[in-house]
Amino acid sequence: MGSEISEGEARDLGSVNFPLERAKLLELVRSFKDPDPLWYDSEAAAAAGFDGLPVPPTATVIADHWREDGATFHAQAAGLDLTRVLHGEVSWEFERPLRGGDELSATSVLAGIETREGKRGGEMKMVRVETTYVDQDGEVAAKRYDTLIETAPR
Amino acid sequence: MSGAGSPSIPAAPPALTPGAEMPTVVTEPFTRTDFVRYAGAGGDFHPIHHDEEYATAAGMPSVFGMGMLHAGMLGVELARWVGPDNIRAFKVRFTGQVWPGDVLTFTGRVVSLVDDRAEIELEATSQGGDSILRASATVLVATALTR
Repeated sequence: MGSEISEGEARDLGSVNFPLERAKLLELVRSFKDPDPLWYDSEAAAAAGFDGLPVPPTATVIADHWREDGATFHAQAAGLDLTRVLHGEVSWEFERPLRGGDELSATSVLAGIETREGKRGGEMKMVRVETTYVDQDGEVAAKRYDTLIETAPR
Repeated sequence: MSGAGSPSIPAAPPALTPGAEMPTVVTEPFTRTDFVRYAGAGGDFHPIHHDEEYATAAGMPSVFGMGMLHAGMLGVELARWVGPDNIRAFKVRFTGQVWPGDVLTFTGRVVSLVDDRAEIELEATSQGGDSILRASATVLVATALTR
């Protein structure tokens, strides 16, 4: 592994407000091939013992609909070449269960850029992005951490 | 895959002990339409996942699935097993790519239990046995006191 270069302080990538709305949750679980009404029908959720609509663990991706560049927003904000970008890691920490109907504000920071020698030469970059989701009551509901990899130029 | 008719999804923390296994899930072969459907659902219009010319110009053999598609599918299976409200952390490391026609197998297992938290390790492997992603989760479980 090559030298680690930290390029300055964490950079603010801005905030976006978005609802965990039912129609997008339905689309999401259909794309995951799980059409269980629990995910989008309040009565089904109540019958299963939930005090609202539960959401799958990756439901915060819905924020990307409120960003002009969608899911590639962070990679583009970091100035990465999209033809060489891979998603390395993603993780979530939940302070409380999220609910369909939650109104969230997602604030992202570019937390670090590390440059190292690629396996076949050239320079590859690893970019870390941290996103905090604050709910309608002003409380932190969840955090997400992403690692994006820009592979070395071919 | 799962859906109506599957075992009910727990709302309360489940009773899990080390060694407990998630029901193994084998997907249908992934199609380009699956990728496009997720593009719309998840807001990921990176052309490398739906535009064959773009993907091949970028040096890929074809379009390939977004990691967040199969990570999301695994997340749903985890949620069906332990209950969505009980997942306190979910961490995914992408180790391979999903190409059209690939079939994934999702597995998961409780590896440790400390107080009311279980640590679960999960994996998605392709039909060739390659690891496509590795994941871990921290899950709130019922204890002897709360059971």
